[in-house]
Amino acid sequence: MEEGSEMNSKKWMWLSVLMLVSMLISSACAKATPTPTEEAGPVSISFVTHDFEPWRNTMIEWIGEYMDQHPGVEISYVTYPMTDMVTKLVTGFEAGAGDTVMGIYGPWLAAMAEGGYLDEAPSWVMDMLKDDFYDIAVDAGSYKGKLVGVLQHIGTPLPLLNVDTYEAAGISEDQYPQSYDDLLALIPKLDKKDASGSWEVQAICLPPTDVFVLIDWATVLFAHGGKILDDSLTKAAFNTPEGLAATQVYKQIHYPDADINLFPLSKCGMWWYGSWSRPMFTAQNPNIRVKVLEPLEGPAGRVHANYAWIWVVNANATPRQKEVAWDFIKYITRPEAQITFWNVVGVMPTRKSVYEDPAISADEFVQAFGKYVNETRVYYPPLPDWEPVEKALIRYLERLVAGELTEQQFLDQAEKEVNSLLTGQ
Amino acid sequence: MQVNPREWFRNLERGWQNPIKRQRRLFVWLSLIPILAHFGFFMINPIVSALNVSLRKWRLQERDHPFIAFDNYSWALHDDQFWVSMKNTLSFTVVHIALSVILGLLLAVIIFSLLQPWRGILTTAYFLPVMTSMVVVSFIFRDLFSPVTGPLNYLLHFIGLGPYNYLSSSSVAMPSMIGVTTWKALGFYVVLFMAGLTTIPAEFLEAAAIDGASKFQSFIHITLPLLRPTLVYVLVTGTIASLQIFTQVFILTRGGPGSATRTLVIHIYENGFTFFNLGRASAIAFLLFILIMAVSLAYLRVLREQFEY
Repeated sequence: MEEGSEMNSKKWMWLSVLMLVSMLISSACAKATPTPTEEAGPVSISFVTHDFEPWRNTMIEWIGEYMDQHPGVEISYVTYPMTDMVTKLVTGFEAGAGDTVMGIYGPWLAAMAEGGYLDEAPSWVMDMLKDDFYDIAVDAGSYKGKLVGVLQHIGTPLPLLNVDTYEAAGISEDQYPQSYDDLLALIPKLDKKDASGSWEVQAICLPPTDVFVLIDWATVLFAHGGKILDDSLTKAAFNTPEGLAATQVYKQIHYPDADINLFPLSKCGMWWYGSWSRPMFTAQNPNIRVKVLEPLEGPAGRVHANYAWIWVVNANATPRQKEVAWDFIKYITRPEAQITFWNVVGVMPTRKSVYEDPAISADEFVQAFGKYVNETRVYYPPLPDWEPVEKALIRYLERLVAGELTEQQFLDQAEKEVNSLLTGQ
Repeated sequence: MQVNPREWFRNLERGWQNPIKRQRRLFVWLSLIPILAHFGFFMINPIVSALNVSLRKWRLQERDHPFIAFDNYSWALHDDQFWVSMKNTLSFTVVHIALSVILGLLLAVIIFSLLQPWRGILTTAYFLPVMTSMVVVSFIFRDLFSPVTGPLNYLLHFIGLGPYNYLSSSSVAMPSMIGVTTWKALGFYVVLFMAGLTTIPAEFLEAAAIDGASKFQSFIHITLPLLRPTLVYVLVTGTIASLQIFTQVFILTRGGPGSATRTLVIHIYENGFTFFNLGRASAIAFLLFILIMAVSLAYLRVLREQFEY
C-alpha cells in the first residue's frame, strides 16, 4: 500500500514537471492562431492607432456610430503612444495575431507587406480610390503592384512663417522667401543674439535630431534635383553635385541648437511642419499669426518631402473580419469624416471632392496644404529594408548638423554605409 | 527503541515512506505548480524563445525563419554599431556607478551625522527622484536642457558659462545622460548606504576615537570595510541597471546625435523594432546577458569576503 502511494507521489511530481516542460516547449515554439469567427454570427474586430487626443476622441465617436449602424459588429479600440506603436504591431504579427485594422506609418508598409502581414484590398477599394482620391493614395498604399492600404493623410511639412518675427525684422510680405536663395539672404536680417551669445531670434528652427533631419534634408535634396537612392533602389544616389549643393544649403539653414519652442513665442522666423501644427501652436500662443508658404523653390522646382499615414488590414484576420475591416476603413475615410478630421485634428483630406466643400475650402491652411497633397513626394522608397538605411542617414545628418562632419564628409561616409547596407541585404 | 541513524537519515531524505511526509511533499509540489508555471511562462519561456529566435534568420519581412546557428552572433560581433554601443554602455556604466557610489556614500555619511528632523528631511528629498518615473524625469530634463529656452543655460550664463547643446552635441550628450541618471538614482544609493551605516557597531568607532584615530582614519579603516556588503549590493545592482540603460536615452536622444549616446539596449531595440530583425536583436540581447552575468560574477568574486565583526 505504501509502495503504491510512493509511486503515486512520484508520478504526481513527474507529471507536474512534464506538464510544465511541455507547456514551455509548446509556448516557446508554437505560434498563436487567430480564433475563427462564426460566418453568420457577430464579428469582433480590433482597431489600433497611435495616440493623439483629438484623433482618439474622434475615432471613439465614429466607432460608436459605426457599431450603431452595424449591430452585428463589435470594435475594440486601442491606442498606443507613437514611440510604442511599431513594437506593438511587430510583436502582434510575430505572435501570429495582431490587430485587425491598423493605422501605420508609411515607411513600415513595405516590410509588413513583404512579410505577408497585410491583406490585399478588395477591388471595390481600388475603385473608391480611383474615383475620388488623389493619385498619391494608390501609390502610398501599394506595394509591388498590390493595394494593401488606404491613405489616411500625408504629412507635408510646408514652411510656416511667423508674421510677427518677420515684421519685427522689418521684412514685409512681398519679401517673404520664395526660394532657398531668398531664405539664405534673409537669415542675417532675422538672426539675433544677446550680449552673452544666447539666441533671441532664430531665422529658422529645423529640428537637429531624429527623423526630421532626414525629411528636411530630403526636401532640400529633391528641390535641388537630387535623390536618395537610384531607381533600382540598390545604390545611394545622393553623392552628386546636386546632393552637395543641397547639403550645403541644408547646413546653412540648420542650427545645431534650433529650438522649435521659439516658434510660438515669436522668436523663430520659420518652421517646416504639417497642417496639424496649427492647433498645437495656437494652443501655446492664441495670438500667433502664421502664414503658410509654398515649398521653397530650388533649381529643380518646388518639392517638399513628406510621409504618409495609411490604414491597413491584418492578413491574419478571418474573411468576415477583413470584410468588416475594409468597410470600416471606408467609413472613416468618407468625405464627411475627412472634413471632421480636418476641423478637429488638422490633417489634410485625401479625397478630391472634399476640397470643393464650402465648409473648408476657404480656409487658408486648406488652400496652402491642399495644393500640395498630390504634388509632394514621400521621402522613403518602397524598400522593405529601408529602415536601416534611414537610421544610417539620420546618424550622419545629426553629425553634419552638429558640425562634426563637413558636407562632403557627410556625403562620402553616408554613401559608403548606405551602399554597404543595400548590398548586404 | 533503538534507532539506526543511517536508516533514519535515509528515511528523512527520501520521505516517501512516511505517509504524513509523503502527503506534505505532495501538497508542496501541488502548491508549487502555479508559481512554477508562472515562472516558467513569464521568465524561462521568453528566454528560451529569445534563444530560439537568436539562432534563426528572423525578420518581419520573411515568414520563414530558417535556423542559421550563430550567424546573428557573428554579425553582431562584426558590426561597428555594436561596438560603439558597447563602448558607450561601458563608459556610461563606469562613470555613472563611480559618481553614484562616491556621491551616495558622501551624502549618506553627511546625512547620517545629522540629527532629526534634518536627517529625515534630507533623506526624503534625495529619495523623491527615485520614486519618480524615468519617463517623467526625462521629459522634465528635456525642457531643462533646451539650449535656448531651458533654465539650465539661462542660469549658467550668469557665471559666464555656456550656452551648451546638452542633447545635440556629441561631446555633451553622454555627460548629460549620466547627469540625469545619477540625479535620479542618487537617493537610492544614499538610502542603501545609510542602512549600511546603521549596522556598524558604534563601539568600533568609539574605540578607534579613544585610540586617537581621526574621523577620516575611522572612515577608511572601519566604516568603509564594514560597508563592504552594502557596497557589493550597490555595485552589482547598479551595474546591472546601468548596462540596461534605455528609457532616458530613448526619450532624450534616441541614441544620437550620431551614435554618441547609442547604448546596447537602444541597439537591441533598433534592430528589433526599427529594422524588424528580431534574430539579430535577440542575439545582441544574449550578448548583453552574458556581459551582465560576467560583470556580476566578477564583482562577487572580487568582493566576496566573509564579513564578521
